[in-house]
Amino acid sequence: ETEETPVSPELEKAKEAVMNLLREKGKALSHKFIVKKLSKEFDEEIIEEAISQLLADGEIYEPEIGFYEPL
Amino acid sequence: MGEELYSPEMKAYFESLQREIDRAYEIARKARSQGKDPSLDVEVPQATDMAGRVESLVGPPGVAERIRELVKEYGKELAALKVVDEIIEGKFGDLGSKEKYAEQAVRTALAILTEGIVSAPLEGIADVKIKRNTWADNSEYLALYYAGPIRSSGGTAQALSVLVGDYVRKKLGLDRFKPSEEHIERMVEEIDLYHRAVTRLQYHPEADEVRLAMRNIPIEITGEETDKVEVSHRNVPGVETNHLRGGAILVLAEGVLQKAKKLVKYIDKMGVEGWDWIKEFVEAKEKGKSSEEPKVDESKAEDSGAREEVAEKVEKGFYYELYERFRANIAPNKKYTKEIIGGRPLFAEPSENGGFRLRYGRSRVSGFATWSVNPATMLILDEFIAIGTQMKTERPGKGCIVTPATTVEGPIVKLKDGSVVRVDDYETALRVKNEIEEILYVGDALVNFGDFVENNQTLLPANYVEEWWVQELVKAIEELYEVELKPFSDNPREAVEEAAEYLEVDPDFLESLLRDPLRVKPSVELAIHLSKVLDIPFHPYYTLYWNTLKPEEVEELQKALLNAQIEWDEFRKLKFAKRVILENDPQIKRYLELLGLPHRLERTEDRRKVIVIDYPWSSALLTPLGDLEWEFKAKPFFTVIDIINESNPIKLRDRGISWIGARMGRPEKAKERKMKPPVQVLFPIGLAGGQSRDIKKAAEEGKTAKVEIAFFKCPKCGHTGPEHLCPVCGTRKELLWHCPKCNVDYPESEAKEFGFRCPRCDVELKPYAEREIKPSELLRRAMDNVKVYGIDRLKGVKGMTSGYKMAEPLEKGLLRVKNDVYVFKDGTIRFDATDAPITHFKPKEIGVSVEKLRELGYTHDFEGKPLERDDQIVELKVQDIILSYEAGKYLLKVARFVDDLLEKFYGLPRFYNAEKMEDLIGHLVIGLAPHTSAGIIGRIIGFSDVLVGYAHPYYHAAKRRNCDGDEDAVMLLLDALLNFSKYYLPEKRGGKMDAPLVVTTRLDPREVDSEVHNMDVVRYYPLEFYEVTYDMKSPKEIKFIERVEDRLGKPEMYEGIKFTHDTDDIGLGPKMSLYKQLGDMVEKVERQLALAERIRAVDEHHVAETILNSHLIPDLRGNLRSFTRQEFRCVKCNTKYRRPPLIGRCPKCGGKIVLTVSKGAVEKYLPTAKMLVTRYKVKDYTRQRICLTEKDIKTLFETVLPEKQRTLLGFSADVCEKMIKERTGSSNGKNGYL
Amino acid sequence: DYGIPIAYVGEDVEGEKSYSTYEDVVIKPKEGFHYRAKEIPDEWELTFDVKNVKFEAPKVKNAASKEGEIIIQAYSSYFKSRLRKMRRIFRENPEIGTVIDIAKLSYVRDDEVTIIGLVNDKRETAKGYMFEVEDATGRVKVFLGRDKENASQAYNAIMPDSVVAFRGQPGRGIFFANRVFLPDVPKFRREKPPLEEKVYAILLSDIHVGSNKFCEKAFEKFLEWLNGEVNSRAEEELVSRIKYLIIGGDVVDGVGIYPGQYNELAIPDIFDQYEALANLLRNVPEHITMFIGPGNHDAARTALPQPGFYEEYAKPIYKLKNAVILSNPAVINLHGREFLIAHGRGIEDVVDFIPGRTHHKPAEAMVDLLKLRHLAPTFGNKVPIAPDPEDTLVIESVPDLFQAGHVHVMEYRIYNGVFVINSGTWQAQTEFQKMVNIIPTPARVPIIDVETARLRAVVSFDQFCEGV
Ligand SMILES: [Fe+3]
Ligand SMILES: [Zn+2]
Ligand SMILES: [Zn+2]
Ligand SMILES: [Zn+2]
Repeated sequence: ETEETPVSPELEKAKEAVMNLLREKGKALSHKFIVKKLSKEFDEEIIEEAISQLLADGEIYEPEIGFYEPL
Repeated sequence: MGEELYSPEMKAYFESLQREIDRAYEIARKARSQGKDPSLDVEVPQATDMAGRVESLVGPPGVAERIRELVKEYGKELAALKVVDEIIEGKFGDLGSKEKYAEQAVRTALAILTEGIVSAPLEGIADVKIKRNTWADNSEYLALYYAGPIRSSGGTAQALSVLVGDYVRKKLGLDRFKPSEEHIERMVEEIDLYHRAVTRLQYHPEADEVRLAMRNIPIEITGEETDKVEVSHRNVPGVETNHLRGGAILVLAEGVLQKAKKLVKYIDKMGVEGWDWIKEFVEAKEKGKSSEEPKVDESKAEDSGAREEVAEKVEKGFYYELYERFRANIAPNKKYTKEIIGGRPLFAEPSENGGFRLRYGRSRVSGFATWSVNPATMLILDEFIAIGTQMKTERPGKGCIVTPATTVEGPIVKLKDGSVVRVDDYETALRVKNEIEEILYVGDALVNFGDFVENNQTLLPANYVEEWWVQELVKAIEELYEVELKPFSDNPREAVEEAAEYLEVDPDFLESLLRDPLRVKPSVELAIHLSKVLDIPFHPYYTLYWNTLKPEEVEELQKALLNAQIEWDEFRKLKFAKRVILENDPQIKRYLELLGLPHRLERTEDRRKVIVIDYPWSSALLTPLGDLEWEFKAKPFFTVIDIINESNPIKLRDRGISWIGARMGRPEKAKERKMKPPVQVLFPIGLAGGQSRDIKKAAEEGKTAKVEIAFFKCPKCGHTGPEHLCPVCGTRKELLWHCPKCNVDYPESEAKEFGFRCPRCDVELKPYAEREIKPSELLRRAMDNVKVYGIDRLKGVKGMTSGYKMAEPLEKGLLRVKNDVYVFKDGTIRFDATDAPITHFKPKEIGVSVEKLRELGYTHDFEGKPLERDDQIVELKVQDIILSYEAGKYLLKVARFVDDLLEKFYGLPRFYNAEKMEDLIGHLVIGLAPHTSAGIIGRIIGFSDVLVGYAHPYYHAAKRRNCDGDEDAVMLLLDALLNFSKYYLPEKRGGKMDAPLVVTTRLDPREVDSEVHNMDVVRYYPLEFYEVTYDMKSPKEIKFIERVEDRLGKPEMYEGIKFTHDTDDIGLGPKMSLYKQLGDMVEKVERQLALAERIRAVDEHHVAETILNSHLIPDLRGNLRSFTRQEFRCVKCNTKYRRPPLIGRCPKCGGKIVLTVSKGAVEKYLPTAKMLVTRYKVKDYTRQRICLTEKDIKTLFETVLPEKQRTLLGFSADVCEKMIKERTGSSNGKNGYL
Repeated sequence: DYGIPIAYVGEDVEGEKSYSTYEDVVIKPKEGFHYRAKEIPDEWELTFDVKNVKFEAPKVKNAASKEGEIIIQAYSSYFKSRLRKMRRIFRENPEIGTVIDIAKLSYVRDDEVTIIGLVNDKRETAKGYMFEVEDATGRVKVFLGRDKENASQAYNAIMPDSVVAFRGQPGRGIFFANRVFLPDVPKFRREKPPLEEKVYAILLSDIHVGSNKFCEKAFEKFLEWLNGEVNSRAEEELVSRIKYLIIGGDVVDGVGIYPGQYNELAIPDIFDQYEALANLLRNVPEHITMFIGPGNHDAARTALPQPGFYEEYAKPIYKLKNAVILSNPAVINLHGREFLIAHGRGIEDVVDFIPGRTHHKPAEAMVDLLKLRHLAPTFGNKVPIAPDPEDTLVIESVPDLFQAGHVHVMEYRIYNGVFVINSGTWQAQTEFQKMVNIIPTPARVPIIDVETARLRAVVSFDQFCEGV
């Protein structure tokens, strides 16, 4: 299923930012915090999207509902 | 100095105290000036500071001002020497002889060094003499004569007095003391002998240490005899006694030698020369220690060497390694268990798991050698501990008293029905108290960090507790979510809300958790959530005592759990166990008990017993075990927690590493002081008053009494009698001086002209004589004076022990009888209580209204909020005190007495007008400790229903007390001012102790006992502290916990002190130790052992053996010994005889002769002792001692008393019979005694 | 435990001990060794033993009298009996003259009379010596001028509660003494008929079996010696004629005698201590009769007099075939010679009260006791005294030999024909003795010629005693 999804540079940036934030803290972070922390740079929807893509890519996982940690 | 040292509020406080003081003095002066008392003036001078006290106590006049200046310039120690210089240079006048200069200098300097509070400078130094080295070169040297009361100055001051003596010696140009071998060996013997025969020395020096000190100390340390124990080195030149010189022994052993290290510091500070030897001594000692230490290390390294090599290959668990280091560095200290008194239980063996769990902190009523425990612990320990009961402790200090703190953990107990309960509150404790089978965990002991500093005790690894966890929580929130929060305080609502949002918790809950983490606990599922998302350890409340179990045992437990019936539940998709049901396997059950896990037994339908673990404990058990999703496997060098932390996502910290042992010391006390027999007036009645010294009875029987008493003569009308004021014409009379040889009296003015010597016989005149008095006349007149008639009795004294033998006005006695109060030897009325510290109170705890408190200057609570409700926490002002109800009731009577005295005796208006206890609030007292001569003004602000005297730690320190079980007195200020007189004080050594010779009006924390400077004053100990305790460091290295010391000299030394652990009520807990309510020794010991059997951390057999060896056997043997060497006594005139007079009656008065040691006294502990050796596993040696002692007692009386019937125990059951039968194969049945 | 009053303090009793009770010490007489003593007939008798004294119960007003009253009565009659016995002794002194009761002094005119009483108290004044003396009728102050015969010696020798006689005139409330008499022993004594053959007795005491300072090796050597392991002809003669062995108390170290004793015991068990002692003593050749009396370390009544050992604890020594158990004190007649055997606690009081006396010279102190004719005159000092209605510590008849122990120093002397000896010890210096500077003389065996009641020889085994 290699559907053509347009690669949004904005989204990639957001994914990068989420990953950086998670790596920096080294521990699980709550959804709300990630959104709030990155809200100056990104729209909330983009962040949501970034998180769900990262989850789908297996880059991060959800140790508890609403909390994310890099794998 | 001074002015800017306190805030305006404190200034106002001190000024209001001073106003009240002035008011009392003014009234007292009016009364005294009437001339009805020995002195026309109030005899309790005021002092605002140390300098003032020194001048009042020892002089010389005018020295106070100089001391103030010199201390400011040089500090206390150097100032003491400067004062010596000035005294000897004659700046305070001509004192006569060189010896007098020396004496004054030594006394003043020592008084400065002891803050002018203890009586040691007055009473501890009997004499200062200049003597000659007749056995050497006949040169002159200085000798200090120490007396018993030198003890009260403490080791350091004792050592310093020697240093001061040497300084004086040099200043006077005297040679050294050059002791002969005889002198040296005499002291060596005395120190040993004292230790063996009198009291154990705290420090018992080696013979060579004594020799070194004797050879090198440049002055002679000698003294009067204190104990009738003879030495074998007799008639040593210049030594006046062949008995023990207790004062000198103390100064050398516990002073110079024990405090050598401290002394060196002072030697450097004060620049005294010629003391290099002691530096070398200290260095050699330190080296000795360190040269020994490596030895120990080497040997340790050797035998652990092999293991260590292995250890390099095998990794060790974190806690395994910590436990190893703990064991290597800090050995259990058994000292406090060497003595166990009958009826005073051992609560925990040294460092034993299940004993007192160390919790670092200070409650509102602890610190300064006081521990707080949960009141439930007091209750569960059978109420042997009440509020104020003393304990002897393993560490950090030797002793403490106990106060309540509801925010620390209580015991964990197993009940008779098999269930295990955590008892953290008083109500639960009351409920389960009679159902207890075993005390698995005794509970927390809240110990002040400052006490570790004070005693320089290595910090023990902290156990995991809420105050640690909450700081890990706060830190994690800050690190992960960048929200700054503070524990133990109110946080900005936005911050709390933000954090709560991230964490997905209720903000109200988070807020209250932060504010009061000791009381507010998350649910277990929330705790799991927080641990998971913040990666912090499991909440301590749900952490079990995992490391009490061995890994193999947990392995077994886990297997059992795999077969258990478990109900699961979910929270935010987190799984947790809601209920666990297990087969009732005794081994498995024991593991659960040892974990401290609450559970219960239940019968199933088929009548089987099963173990039921309910929520939340089901989860507390299963969460650390990963809800059985991974397999727990024991492995070497790993503790249970290490293994869990390796495999489990939620980590644990150990909640049970450091345990402290303790036993009961003295019971608490709050009681009016009565002399023995009780006295109501200091008036001599001789034998005329009978056994109870009853003046009323003597008067009724129309007796005349022959007593030694001072008489006064009216210069106007010639009336003579014991009154100061002429009953005929109202003139102040003159003291009659008496010639004991020719029996002539001279009025004071005449006597003075003759230099107080009889002009005829050249004998020294005495201020008293044996005179005849008519009690009926004197009493009638006194009754008419104060209109007190219908009294039952009036207890006087047999004879007066004071130098002048002046009698108190009988009117005072009558008014005391009327108000049911008793008098102490100095004329004051005292109430004694155990000292207990308090820094903060709630108005409702002490029965005082918010309005009244505001009047007293309490306007805000301790967090700065206006004082409005009676449950707010308020910081105590330093001179305010909270009395026990008992004290309140008694002082109320004293107030009425003082009012009666003012009105009826002095004709002045009543002062207190107190109807009820509360009316005393705001009034002043003097606090005064035994062995001291300086009181401190205190103000009553409330009452608590406990048997202690609660006051600020500073206040106790101002009396030179800490709170490890000391007790001392309060008296109403006006009573002391009106009735105290030096003329009443006993002439004998020590008579001036425990008398208010001067009173401090304003407390300066810098001038109180420096022990209190180590008390910490923070709201909580930082995270850093808990982490660093794992390194087992010296407390001196911890610089980040603020202590009183850090505030000295700043206004904050008076205010803004904090505490770490709150308590619901300072009066919550048993009021009176069970010890005081038990009857004879059998009952006491039975209760004590019943408790020992119940406490897991106590070995009852060990307790039984120690009670025998440290209390019962010494008593039995001692009494047996003294029975056969006893004195005999006349019941009538109380004359003592070395042996019974041959005529069978008292040769003096014909009275009956009786024993002074009865047969009953010899036998009294025998039944208890036999009970112990019967029921407990004690050593054969101990059992034999008891059986032999029984036989010794029995045979002692065999020729005079018919054999007693055996009563208690049947012949075959008798433990001694049984032992003899066992050992010899037969028994004649005559060995049991009882 | 002597010399120093010890405050009773608790002690540690920790750790188990393993020890031997000398079952393996079996010594047989050397083959062919000739014991002359075996052929000489036994001739001994217990002349005095406390166990044989019938005490009369003290008289009290009614049967329901309280224990305390009875005990007071007992102590009173104890001292009254002392006075009676001493008066009997004084009666033998022809110089004494007319004795009258103190209560009757007021009827006496100018004649010289004698009073006999217990001394309550003595003190020195500028001109002489003051005493308070008491007999059954009253008490009186006695003044003895410094110039009077023997005044200062007598003053020094008098211990509290000892009985002395004063001859002199009564004055106003005071008795002016011209002479003072101690009960004393006669200067000369009649010689006893000689014996047909020499027999010897060994005097021991203070063996302290069970102490970790007990010289076990030396004691075994001594036993071997008794069994014929001798070094010379002279020794052979000695051993051959030994017929008696007397042990004057402290035969074991006991349990619980002083605080901290546990740590200084090799055998911390009283049964085993006596077992061990018996295992040693069973090696004493059977023809030697042993007399064994108790001391303050033994399982025996703690107060004086001590009737014997507690049989149930000291059973093994009661079972020894050739042993006779004595009381403390006791008098044995050996071939017509009287041996007074006491443990000797009274020495402690002598040292306390008589100037110049020390623990190092016990024989001097024993002579002082002999002069006062009492083994422990002072009540209430160091020696515990039982409430017996009769004083059995009076030295009623003059012995030929007076043996004591207790102070662990062997020393002897002769006083007015009485041989006075302290028999030393078998215990090396203890920690406590070291501290108070007491130097014992362990493992010395004095051998007495029974005929003369004098020392024949001292044989030392101290080279086998560690710490000497
Ligand atoms: Fe002995
Ligand atoms: Zn007048
Ligand atoms: Zn005169
Ligand atoms: Zn009397």
